[in-house]
Parts: sequence; C-alpha cells; structure tokens
Amino acid sequence: MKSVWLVFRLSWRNLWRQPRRSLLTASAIAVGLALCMSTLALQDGMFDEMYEILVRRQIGDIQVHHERYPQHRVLQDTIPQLEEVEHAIGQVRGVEASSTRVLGYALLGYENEAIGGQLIGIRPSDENAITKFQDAALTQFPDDTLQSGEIWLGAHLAKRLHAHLQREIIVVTQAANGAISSQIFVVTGLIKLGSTFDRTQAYITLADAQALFGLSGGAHEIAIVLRERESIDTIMSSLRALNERGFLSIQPWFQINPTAAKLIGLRETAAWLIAAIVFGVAALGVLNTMLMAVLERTRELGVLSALGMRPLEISALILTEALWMSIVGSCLGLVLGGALDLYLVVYGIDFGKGTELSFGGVTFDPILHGAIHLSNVFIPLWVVLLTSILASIWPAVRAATLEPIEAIFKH
Amino acid sequence: MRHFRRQVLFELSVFTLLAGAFSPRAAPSSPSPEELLDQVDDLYRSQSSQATLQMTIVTERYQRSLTLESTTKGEENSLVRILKPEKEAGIATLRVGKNLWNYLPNVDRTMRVPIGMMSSSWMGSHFSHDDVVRESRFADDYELRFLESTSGQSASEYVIEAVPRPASPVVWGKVIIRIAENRLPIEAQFFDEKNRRVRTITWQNPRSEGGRIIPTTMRLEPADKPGQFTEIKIVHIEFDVPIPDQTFTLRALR
Repeated sequence: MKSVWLVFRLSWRNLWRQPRRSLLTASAIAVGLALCMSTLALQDGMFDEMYEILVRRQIGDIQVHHERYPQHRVLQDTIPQLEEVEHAIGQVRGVEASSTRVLGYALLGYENEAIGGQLIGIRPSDENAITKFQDAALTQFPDDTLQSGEIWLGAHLAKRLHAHLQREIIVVTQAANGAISSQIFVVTGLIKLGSTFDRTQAYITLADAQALFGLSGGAHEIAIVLRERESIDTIMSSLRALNERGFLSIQPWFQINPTAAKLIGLRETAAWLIAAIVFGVAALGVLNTMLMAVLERTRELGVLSALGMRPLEISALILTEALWMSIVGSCLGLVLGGALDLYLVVYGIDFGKGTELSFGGVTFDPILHGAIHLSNVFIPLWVVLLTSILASIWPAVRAATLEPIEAIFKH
Repeated sequence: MRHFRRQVLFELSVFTLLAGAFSPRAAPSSPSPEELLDQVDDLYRSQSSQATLQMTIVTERYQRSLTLESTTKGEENSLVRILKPEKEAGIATLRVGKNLWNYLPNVDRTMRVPIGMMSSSWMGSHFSHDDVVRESRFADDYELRFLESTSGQSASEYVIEAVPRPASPVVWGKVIIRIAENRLPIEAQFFDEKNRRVRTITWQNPRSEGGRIIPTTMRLEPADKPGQFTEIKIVHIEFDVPIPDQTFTLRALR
C-alpha cells in the first residue's frame, strides 16, 4: 500500500520537474477535450432539433394503432376499446402527453377546385402538447382554438385550393359504411409545420371527423410523447403489458420512420469520429512527452532499478505520470469546454439571418444552439484518461525493461 | 335514349339496352365479330332514357344498396340521382360530354370531378368516374376475332377477343367477350397490358323492358378482390321519352 502512495507522489513530483513541457502537453489535452465537448454540443443541438421536428412533433415517441392499421391504413380499423386504452396510457409514468387522432382521406373542394387530402381529427389541446402549434407559423382567425365546423389547412394545401381564411370548404368522403359523406367547414387556420403536412393535410376536430367518417366514437392513432427520450424502452414494456390480447400495434418512432432513425443515428457515428480524431492527436502528444521523459531519465531509472524498484513499479511510475498529466489537462479542458458549451447553448452560432439551413428534410433555425448531454461530457473525459494511459504503455514498458548497468553507465 | 359510346357500355350497360334488334330481326346466320359487338355496343343506345336502378355494392368492409334514378339524352348527357337510402338521397352525378360533376344536397354544392380523381370510385362502387365518361366502340377501337368457346357452354356461344388498336383511347390490354346465341352478352373479361385479368362483367336476367329484351342484371367483379362486386339491376326503364335539355345543367341539380 505504501508503494502505491509512493508511486503517486513520485510521479506527481516528476511531472513538475519539467513544468513547461508538462503544462504544454496538459494544455494539448485540455484543448482537445474542450473542442471535443463543444463540437459534440453543437452537433447535439442540431440533432436534437432534428429529432424534435422530424420525430417528436410529427410522430411522437410512440404510436398506438389497431393491430392491422399500420400496414393497410384502412378506415374501419379503429383502435379497439379506445377509452380504456387512452386511460391506461394516461396512467403510465413517464408519459408526458398523448393525442388521439382520426385519420382519413377526403376530397376538399373550394369553388371549382377539388383536391384529395388527409384529414386529421384531433382534440386541439391534446394535439398541441405534441405538435406545438404556437411554433408552427400558424395564421389564424378569429381565435386560436379549433372548433366544430372549422378546419385548419396546411398552408400549401390551402394555396393549391385557392382557399383563404374564413372561406368555406366542402369536404366529401366515403364513410366507414361506404356511404358518401359530406360537410362544409370554415377555414380558420393555415399551418406551416415545415413538413409534408403542409401540402396534404388538414386538421378538424375529433368529433367532427368521427361524424364525417361514420366512426361512432372510434379513432385510428394515439401518439405518445415521453418526458425523457431515453426512457423509451421502459415505457414500451409498460405499454406492451396492456396489449395482452394483441389487438393493438405499439410502435416506437424508429420503427415508424426508420429513415429518420438512420439520419439521427448519424449522430453516434459523427460523435465517435470526432472523439477519435481529437484523442488520437492527444494520445500522440502524451506518447511523445512520456517517451522523451523516459529517454532523458534513463540513468535515473537505471538507478532506481538497481536500488530494487521492481519493473512493475517503474512502469507504474510512468503510467501514473501520464495519468496525472491527463488529469490536469482534463480539469483545464472541462473548464474551457464548459465555458464553450455554455456559450453555444446560450448564444449559439448564427449562420446569418434568412439562411435556410436544411438537412435531412428538416429546416433549422439559422441560429444553431448547442445542447449539453452529460454523456457528451463524461464519455470524452473517460476516453481522454484512457488514451493517455494507453499512449504511455510503450514508454512505461521501455522504462521497466531497462538493464540497470547499461542504463547507468551508458547514458 | 342514351348513348354511351364507350366500351363502358359493358360497364354501365344498364342505361340502355337494345333488344328489339336481336330476336325478331332476321340476323345473318354467321355474324362477324364486328356485327355482334356493334349490337352489344348499341344495347344501350337511344335518344333518351329514364330508368330506375338498384345498385348493390359488396366489399370486404361493408355492403350497401342504393336505388338510383338515371336520365340520359343523346350520347353526351346523363344524370344519375340517388333515391334511397335517405341519408344519401339527392346525391347526383351529372355528365355533360367529358365533364363530370357531383352534387351533394346536404351541403348544397356541386363539385367538379377533377382529372386526378377520375379513377376513383363512383358513388362508392367498383366503377370509376372514368367508366362513366369513357367513350369507345368495339368495332372502331379494337381488332376483333373469334375464339373457340372454352366454357363448355357449347358452340352456340360466340367468344370474341378484342385487342385495342394502337391509337385507341382505351386502358385495357385485351377484352374477351362471350355472347349468347340470342346476341345478348353473357360475360366480358378485361385484361391489362400485362395480360392480367382486372375485372369481369356478367349479364343476367334478360327481360323485356321499355320495348326491348335486355339483360337487366349486370355485375362487375374486380379480379383482385374475390367476393366483392357491384351489381346493377334495372328495375324499370323507358326509352325515347321526351326529356328537356335543362335537366342536364348544374342549376337543375339543386
């Protein structure tokens, strides 16, 4: 035990025998860590927004349907025992919000234009928890709730129909029993969600949709949003327990939109790439410094060996020196990185007003903000410490395998 | 009487039927395919007509039965109105030439059927809007030839293969028609360009109506949905009745 403590004290003092060199290497590690942290923060900011727009606001984290609905999307395949399912979902901890929707196709007509579109029947306040209408460039009149007899059109759809606010639109469709069903709706909102919604979809109230499609209290989809994205596996299991008889289809967002999943998965790959580059460079720095240190202390190490210090202890000495250096560097790096991260989160990087940043079908805000996920701080930290130790293995082995006599008399 | 100059004659053949042409007429003993199909095409021609029809639709998800009233004048004008069930009563489809409008009484609006919607179902049946408007004539738009009858129905039946001519505005790759000895159609099978059967139309229950002997039941079955069909029965039809032109205007719909 005593020798362990000795190794630590000794290596710490050794470090400061060459203060400038040690600080330089530590700074290299610090800068590497700080850059890694800030790049990851920026990247996370982008991917978080992508997730928000592509996934959470459209699909939600989890969706529940009638078992057969996802493949064929048949109007008559409504969720069985809807009220019980809704209630059960509300009871699951970790669910932030859920919205029940009726989905159906209809012909929308205004004056002489008629266009096919998808109607989404919603309870406005429930849906707002998921789709966040206030962020959606919504133009409304006269007020901001969707009521019976009213319709909110995707902005582009409205353009195609040549319809404006306060216009009346006829909606014609085939009800669940095959009968032709039609109703007039007043346009009280135009929405831009930044997705395909705008061209093809429109909102009406859930009750109106049920009446129009002849669904007597049925609905097709429940979209669920979780408090924490990461808890999705646990929540999925809780929900599956509800589905003992297998009448429901419960899908996580990545099953519903695998393309978005792949896109967002790029984040992992990119993160590891950045980390690899940064720490590869830092590792080289550590290697260089430690190798030099061993070289210039060959005689001294020979003496230690002759005095009875075991090879393991000698290599431990070198490794611990490297460890101390990276600890110092990490502390500096955390401070620097933390400052950068904070700046990115609060101020972000402004790509210029009016620039439309587009990636993967999502249009971003021109000011990109960072997002701090703790894993993006701790993982680089452990990687730094690990790479430093790994980089100093070679010098440590060199030091441990010196022949004392040779070391003393030939150097 | 109503002219439907299209091979949809087969498909909406309920609208006019030409029987008188067959039975008493001294037809040549070995008719050409053109003659036979001309007679079938003309099955539903008249200067005007008024009919009451029963349309039954059976799909995987629902079954419906509609009572319709149909009015036609010349080749280009027709009006079909739903009489029953009450929820849909008053819904009408007006055709003038190649244009089609639907009228919906509970919103009191007419909606033109846009080109993009022409292939969608008419009144929820297995017929499309396109079927209602399409005009073609077998003798003009197809190359015809006789085939051997394979149905075991014996040689008293005519089987004709119709392949569209290159320039014809026809969607089918091929049509095979079976006609009975009495010149009334029995069945027509429609194939796409890849020679897959798409739909089959059968005619049954020949009866005297409006002064002609015509098949009064016509059934359309889609090939890819076994068990589903749309069947139209002629309850009553009169030919060459006087019908004012104004009937075929949007105003008159309301």
